[in-house]
Amino acid sequence: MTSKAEQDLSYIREIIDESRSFASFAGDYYILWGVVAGVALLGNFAFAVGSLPWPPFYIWAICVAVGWAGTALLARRDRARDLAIHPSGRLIMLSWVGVGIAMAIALFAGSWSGSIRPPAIPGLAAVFIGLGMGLNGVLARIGWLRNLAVVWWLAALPMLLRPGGYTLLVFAVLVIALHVLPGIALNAMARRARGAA
Amino acid sequence: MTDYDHTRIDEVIHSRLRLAIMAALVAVERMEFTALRATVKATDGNLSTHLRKLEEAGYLQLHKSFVDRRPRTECALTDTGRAAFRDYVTRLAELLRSDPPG
Repeated sequence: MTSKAEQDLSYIREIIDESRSFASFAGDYYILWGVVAGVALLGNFAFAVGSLPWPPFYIWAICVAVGWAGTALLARRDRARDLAIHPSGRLIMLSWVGVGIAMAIALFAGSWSGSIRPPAIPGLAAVFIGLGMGLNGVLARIGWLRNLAVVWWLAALPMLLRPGGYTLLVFAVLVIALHVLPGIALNAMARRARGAA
Repeated sequence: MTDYDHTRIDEVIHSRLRLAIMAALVAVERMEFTALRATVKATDGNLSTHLRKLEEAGYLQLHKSFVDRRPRTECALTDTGRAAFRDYVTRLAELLRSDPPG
């Protein structure tokens, strides 16, 4: 009887692990926000080096609007095609909202009051993005995504230690590359999970 | 020997496939039929039969809809189902504690 119970318990664990493979992967959200934020940051860089004659507020307004509209469309699509909804999905969304609010408070209030100098903003933003990606990786149990947090933090170090004109460009390139590439990888994982079903 | 009382085991869950269905659904809020079928490695007909039994016991709910004119069935455990599964796993663990191997 006990060996049957042991078998049942290990079978239950195996099935629970397998059901996690159908978690929704937010690859398209990564790609979308990597592109819109990256384009807006390139606008900032162009303004900083004098290639853009007007402040990039309009670019930011358009990019953020496109980002949220795209997010709403993707959420609607995923609601209809997700193979499974995990409680971790809600936690991941909340962790990104939390990171976004913390970043907005620190960077907007800090730069408005002067307690944070503008050249330090990309480095600090990289610290926050690393935190969000690390949480996402831990909650979704994706090791390489969790490890990307370290890449963000390592990249933040030189940007904070030696802030300068280059940091905006480096940050814009990192935002695009470290969102689009993970997004493509997450989409590939999603395709494999859908293929298995 | 053990003083384990086998009549306390929930017979609705105590079938290999229904146990697999419950285990797959306990980890999620809801799961689409094809994903559940792949997880528990069952045929459409067999899975449907066991889902109906669990539904009749009040352990799960089936949500049927159409997406792009294709039928879509989603399965989710009810609160009763989650409680029953928790009890089932507790009973198994009690059994192991009451009669350690060796």
